[in-house]
Amino acid sequence: MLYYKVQQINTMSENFKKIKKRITVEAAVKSAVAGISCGLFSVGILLLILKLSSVGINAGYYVLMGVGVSAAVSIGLFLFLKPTDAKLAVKLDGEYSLNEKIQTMVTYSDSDGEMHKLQREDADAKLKGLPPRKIAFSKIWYFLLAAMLAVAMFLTGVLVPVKDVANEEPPAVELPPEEGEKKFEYTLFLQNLMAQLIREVRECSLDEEQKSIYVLILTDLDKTLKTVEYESGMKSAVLGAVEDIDEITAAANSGEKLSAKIKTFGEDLASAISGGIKIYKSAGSLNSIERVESIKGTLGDAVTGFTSKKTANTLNGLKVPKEEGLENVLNTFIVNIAAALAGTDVAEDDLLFASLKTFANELSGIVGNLGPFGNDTLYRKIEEAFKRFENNFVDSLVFQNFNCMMDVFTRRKLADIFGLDYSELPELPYDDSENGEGSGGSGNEGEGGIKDPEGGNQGGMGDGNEIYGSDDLIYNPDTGEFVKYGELLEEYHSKVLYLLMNGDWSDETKRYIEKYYEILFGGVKQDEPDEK
Amino acid sequence: MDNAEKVKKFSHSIDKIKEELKKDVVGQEEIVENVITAIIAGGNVLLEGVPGVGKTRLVRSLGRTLHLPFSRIQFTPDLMPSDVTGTNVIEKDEKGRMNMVFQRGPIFANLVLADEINRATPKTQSAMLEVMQEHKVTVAKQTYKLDEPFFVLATENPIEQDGTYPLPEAQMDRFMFKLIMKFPSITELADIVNMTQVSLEESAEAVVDGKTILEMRELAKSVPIIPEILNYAVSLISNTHPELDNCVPSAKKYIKYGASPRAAQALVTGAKVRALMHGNYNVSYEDINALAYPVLRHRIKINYNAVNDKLSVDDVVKMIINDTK
Repeated sequence: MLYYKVQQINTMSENFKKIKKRITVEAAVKSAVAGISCGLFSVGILLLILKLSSVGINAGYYVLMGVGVSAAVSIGLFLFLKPTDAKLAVKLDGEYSLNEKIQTMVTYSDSDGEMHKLQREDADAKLKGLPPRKIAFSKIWYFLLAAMLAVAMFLTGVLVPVKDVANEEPPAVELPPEEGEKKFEYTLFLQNLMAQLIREVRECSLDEEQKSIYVLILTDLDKTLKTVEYESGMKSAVLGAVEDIDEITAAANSGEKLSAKIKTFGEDLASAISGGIKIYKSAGSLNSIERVESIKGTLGDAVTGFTSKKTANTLNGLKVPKEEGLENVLNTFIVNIAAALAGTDVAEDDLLFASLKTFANELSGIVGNLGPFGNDTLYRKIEEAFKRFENNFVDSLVFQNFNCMMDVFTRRKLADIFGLDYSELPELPYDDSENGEGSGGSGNEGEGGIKDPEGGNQGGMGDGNEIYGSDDLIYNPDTGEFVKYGELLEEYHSKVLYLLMNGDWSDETKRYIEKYYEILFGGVKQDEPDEK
Repeated sequence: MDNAEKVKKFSHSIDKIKEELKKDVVGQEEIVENVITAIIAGGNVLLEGVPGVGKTRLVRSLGRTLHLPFSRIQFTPDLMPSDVTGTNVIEKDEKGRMNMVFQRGPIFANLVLADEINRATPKTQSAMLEVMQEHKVTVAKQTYKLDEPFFVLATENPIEQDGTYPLPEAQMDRFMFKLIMKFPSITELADIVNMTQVSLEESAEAVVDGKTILEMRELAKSVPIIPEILNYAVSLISNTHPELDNCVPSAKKYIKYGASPRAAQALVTGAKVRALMHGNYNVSYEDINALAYPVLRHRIKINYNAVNDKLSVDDVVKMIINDTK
């Protein structure tokens, strides 16, 4: 049995006040942590949303929001958690099984009765006897976890960069049509023409790697055109495909790059390269794949015809007597070649690059073994190496010419199919002439050119036994001039194609007209009368 | 004497009473405590138990310990009310004149043992009503006040139902507590046998007197009880009434009729005494819950649902406590 001396207790128990103060501090800390966490979290969320939406607002608003949310949550939570005497009494009685001593003490804190005083004293003694550790910050780890999450969200919002809308590639969607713009219909006729073009590219003798990219570009164009509604969209897609094809050719052709490097020490060689890769321009029209392939067969001679004089000058420049410094000349040449090759980004497996490198290596071998040989022998060695170089050199230039021819053929074919004017096509990235397409003549008159496989020069079309038009002149009613038949043929072919695409023709009619022009361009074998 | 001293004396007295009673009564600590609680609170107790568990012995020892005049009334079917209260008799005085003199009955004691009270007729039982409630006897329009403290401890044998008269509700309500003395455990029985082998006489000695009891009663009245606990106590009583809208589901299901307002008074008064006996200066929920059983078990009537579900009154009281919390 317990009993206590009566003490002078006029106010609430001091121990109770201490506990209340501690619990109030605990409530304040929890409220502050929760408030700051909410503030950080809300600012973090807002930052993240606005940054991902590429919306920027003044930093002051973030601060205002954070402070506002923190204050509101802190104050609200504190008012909720802050213990009243009654709530604290219930809490203490429950936690420490005090049999409602504290509640009674608080309820009758102002009573003067003897028993009340004894009761207060008894309750106070119980409070005093409570171990300090029992009044612990309960569940503070909930608040700490919330704080960590809030900090994480805040840092995420701060560190995430603003979405850069300006530099984003615009989505590949068709631009809204201009007023009065014509609709585009990707008819079966056009699809068939595209399919034919793709087939021709697949069957051509282009390098496999390049060919696969060509086919991919054309196939993608075909798919895109099926979704296009307006002429502008069609034009945009076609010109885009043309640019892509041009880029492939520019990447595959190293002539201009190497020529520029070599020009510093070997003008003839550089000229041979830069001119040699443009021989195809003298080929005239490249309106059919058959013609392109046919001309390819003659490129070797054409390139050789063009380059031989220049490369011969280069060779002569190397044939210097030993006693006059053959070694130095060769070494200088070798070093220059090496420096030129090293100074470009051309791949080592490029044919032109490889031919130059091989030649330089062979010369290097000769230089290293000059000693016992006389000038004639050395010259012969140099000539033999040069011969091998020349063969490879010509092959590489033929390769690059063919690339250009296929590029020209494909882009013109696309223009013809979709009724685009050639002037609308983008400039060739590897040709600085005004009109890169072969329009007759290489521009290098007297220096060789492609001889028509069937003989004859410009104005003649046909690749079979019969050639239609040839150099005959025909009256052009539009200009009032007599012009070569071949040129007018091409012009009318473009016009007819346009009419076919935009007119109301039956498929059969379109087929016949197209076939007619194919015959004109391609030629038809005529049977000998007595073979019939 | 200030309250602190009174509380000290209270604690000391309770300890001494319990010590003395232990000499004559083996076990039954809870019964002893509740009986002491009732005495201090000023209430009467109904003791129920099989024969031989020590009901009479407890009361007799209590009488010795409290140094209070003790009387025992053995209730039988032929017991008359006047046998209990007393009656007027004609006596010749020294001058030879005949006078009517009131001869006090056995009720005129401080501690009355009403043994087997349910064997008396309702008429005789009703004679106890005024005595138990008001502590006075009225005979032939003459009222005689009983000395305080006055305490009736009645016993009931739960086995013998033949020739018994169940106590009326009004009388049952006047018992503060109904306590059930259970059969002692083997250890306790062994102790009883050993003890009674030595002597059958009670050996408890007087340690307190009536005045002390009254002082203790007054002191207990000053023990504070907070409004929440008071409300809880009265809610408990109110929840035993199935006819009320706010009663608990268990009461609706298992109770025929609930406890009277006297139950609330008994509960709170008894709780104050209990609190002080346990060294507390305030009433707690634990005090209320502990005394709910002795206060309610004779005041509520369970219905057939409870019987069907094999529930005792105490089971139903427990449900009501759980529902009220």
